[in-house]
Amino acid sequence: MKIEILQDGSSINMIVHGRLDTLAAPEFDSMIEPYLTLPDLKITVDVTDMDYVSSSGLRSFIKLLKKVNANDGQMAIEGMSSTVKEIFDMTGFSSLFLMLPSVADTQDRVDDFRYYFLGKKL
Amino acid sequence: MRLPFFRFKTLSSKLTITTSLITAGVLALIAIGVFALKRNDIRQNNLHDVALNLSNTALNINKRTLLIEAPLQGNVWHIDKCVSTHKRDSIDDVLKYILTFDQDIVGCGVAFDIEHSYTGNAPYMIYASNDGNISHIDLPLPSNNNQSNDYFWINIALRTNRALWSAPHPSPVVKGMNVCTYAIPVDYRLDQYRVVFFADIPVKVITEIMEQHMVPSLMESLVIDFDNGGYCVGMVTNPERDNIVHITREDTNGIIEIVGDNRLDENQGSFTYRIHNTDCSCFYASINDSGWVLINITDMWMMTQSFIDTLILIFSGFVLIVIILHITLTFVINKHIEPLRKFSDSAIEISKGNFKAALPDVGELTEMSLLHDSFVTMQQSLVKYVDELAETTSHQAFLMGELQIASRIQDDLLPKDFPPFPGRNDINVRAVLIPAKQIGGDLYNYFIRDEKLYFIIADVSGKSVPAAIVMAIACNVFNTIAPNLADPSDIMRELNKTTCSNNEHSGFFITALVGILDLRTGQLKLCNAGHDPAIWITPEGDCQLLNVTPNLPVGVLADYKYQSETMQWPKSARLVMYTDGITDAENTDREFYGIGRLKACIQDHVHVDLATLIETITSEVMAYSAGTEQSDDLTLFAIDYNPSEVLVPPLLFLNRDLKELERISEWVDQVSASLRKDISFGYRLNLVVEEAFTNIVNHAVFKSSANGNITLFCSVHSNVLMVKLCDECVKFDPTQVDDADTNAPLEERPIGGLGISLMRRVTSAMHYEYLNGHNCLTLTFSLDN
Repeated sequence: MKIEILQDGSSINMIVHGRLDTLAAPEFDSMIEPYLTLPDLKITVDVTDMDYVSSSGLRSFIKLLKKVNANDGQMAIEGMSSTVKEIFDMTGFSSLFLMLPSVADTQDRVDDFRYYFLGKKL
Repeated sequence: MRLPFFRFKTLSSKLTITTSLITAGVLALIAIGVFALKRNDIRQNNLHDVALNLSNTALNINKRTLLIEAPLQGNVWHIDKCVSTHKRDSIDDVLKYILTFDQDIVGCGVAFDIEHSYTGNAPYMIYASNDGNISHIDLPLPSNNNQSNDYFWINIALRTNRALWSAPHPSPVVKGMNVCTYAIPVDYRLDQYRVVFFADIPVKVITEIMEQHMVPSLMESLVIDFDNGGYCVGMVTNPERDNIVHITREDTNGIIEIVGDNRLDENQGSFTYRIHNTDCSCFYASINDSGWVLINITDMWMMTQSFIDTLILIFSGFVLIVIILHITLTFVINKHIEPLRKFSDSAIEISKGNFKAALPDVGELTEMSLLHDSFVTMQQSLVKYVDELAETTSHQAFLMGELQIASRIQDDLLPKDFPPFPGRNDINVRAVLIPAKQIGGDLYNYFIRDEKLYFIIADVSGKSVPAAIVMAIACNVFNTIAPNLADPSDIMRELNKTTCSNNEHSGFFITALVGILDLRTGQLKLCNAGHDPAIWITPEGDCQLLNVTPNLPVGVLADYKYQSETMQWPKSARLVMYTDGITDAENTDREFYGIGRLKACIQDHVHVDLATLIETITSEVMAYSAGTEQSDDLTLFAIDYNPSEVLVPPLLFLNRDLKELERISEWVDQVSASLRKDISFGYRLNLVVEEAFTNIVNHAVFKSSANGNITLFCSVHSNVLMVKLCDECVKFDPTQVDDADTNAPLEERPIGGLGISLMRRVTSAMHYEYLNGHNCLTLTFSLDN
């Protein structure tokens, strides 16, 4: 698994690559942890390249969501593949998270992020 | 309500009626016998009485007539003198004198002969009647017709020239009176004239004597005058005493002739005669000198009439006796039989369970008191018997209860959850054990250990409690030692050792079949200790006995070396094992069910599932032996083995480390690839295995003694993939964990519980079992698209 984090002020774009399994989940948690105290936090998790998520991964997502909500922030998941979506659907997570459609490249995704969360188009 | 007299069906009425009828019969027989014996005697006596009576009457009549004759005879000379001296006036005096002799002389007189009248005058007679008148009466001229006048007797007296008594005739002076006349002819040859001196008496003088002396009403009597020149004139007692009845010869039916003949020989006698179809007795007696005969004609039947009257009287007496006897007997017998009715009531009470029912008081009557004593004894015996029965029953119930507990314990020794390996498609077993008694000596057992199926079927010699104890030991030994041994001959050897050490005095033995089937390779090792051969059946219906090297039964020889045989399980074949309770089941003709019928039954049901096969064979054997007692325990044990077609990769031993997830991921990729499934399938498979593995690593409590390995393997059966994870941790069933609520809002969501929810949703089935210290979780995936 590989995670990239792009920051634009209080907007965070978290890009997950590979498998978010039990082994990887702690890394996911620890990597996003420092950003959670930002005021007016807006996090987009890009899972376009995420092959796999286990229940530990799901657990990381829900933990993240709870913390963002506690901080009065906002969170969205972007580019979810059908296999991952299936898991989210099965667990009822789909209704908890704001889902965004996939975009072609990282930059576009950032633009979209801005569009959706910052209200301005680049 | 009917009176007791008429209850003919009761004992008392039968006794009474029988006794009365017998008495009546005996009395009737006596009466009939007396009648038959005495009838002739009585008749003879009666005849004798009549004859005597007749003779007596005749004598009395004779005596009476002599009293009349005497004064006439004594005064004949007076008349003679008067006539010869022509002193006619003196005749009147003589006549008056005669009248004084006897008051019954109603008249007397002298008749002068008409032919030889010395006067030449017409014939006449001087007649003095007892009223004092003397009259001269002219007599008719004599003629041949003597009967034409009332004075025929004058001519007869003159003609016969002797004294006589005439037949009755009307009195010459008193109108309506019939008289009999005694006439004495007085002959004066010198003077050529003849007179008749006579006296009249009324007929009733004679008939009164007859009435006085003769037995009345029994007979008809008459006096017949035979001297009257061939005429028959009679005096008949009936209907009126002084009537004259003229009897002609025809009237008497010839009796007169017979009497006439007989009286010349004897003065009196009797003879029987038949008149108008009736037997009569005719008695006769001559009255001396008068020429009269007294005749009595009696009906023969009349002779016994008095006797019959007596008999009727006796019969009436008998009937009265019988009636009195009947009534008396009825009351007496009813009184004595009354206790019987009470005994009957008591018996009914006793039969209802009241053993203390009161008995009637019977006093000193021997039979009744014997019956009373019998009832008392019976009541006491019943009370005692029922007490004993209650005790025995409770004891038996206690034993039955104990046996039932033993039966349950024994039942628990045998695995009974069928199908026992629901997560597996390659192997299935099914067994049934029906003990002959509550508990039995058959056993079967099986388990899977390290992908090997261990199984045993055995039959302890004998039945019931002793066999059950041995069975329990054998079962336990198998469970304990088998998992640690790799060859069935070793298992058998250990079983034999244990059994022999406990069998010094008992002498029982066990026939057994022990097998180990390697589920990965299909290799079967079998050891047979004197047990009935198992039966192979292939899907094509090929049925054959599995003959393996026979060994001694277990428990016979302690150091016996058991041999096992190794073979390959035929493709898709089914193995059926049984104890001799099946083949030795007998029908009512004492014929065995036999191996032939068993094979035929199995062959007829090749394609049914195991449960149906076992059920079919059992019910067929039960139907065969219906009506007979089950003589032996009955066990059936069948195995289906249909190994996986694909095994990729067969086995993965994992450490307790999450890093193993990478190996799991590789393993999943391999499986998915070999099954030619897409990424999505691999994704789901990976997800589930990871969840299961992570759960074990993170949450399971490891036993210190056990190794930390987690075994992962999979198998494929037609369209199903089965993945199995086994660990030696403390028993924990993840399938019992509740789902997380997938519809709950975020705030209420727990962090845990997600994994099991996902596993449930992704797999088509999850099965958990705890086998020989292992948690085994089987995850099933459908390979259908």
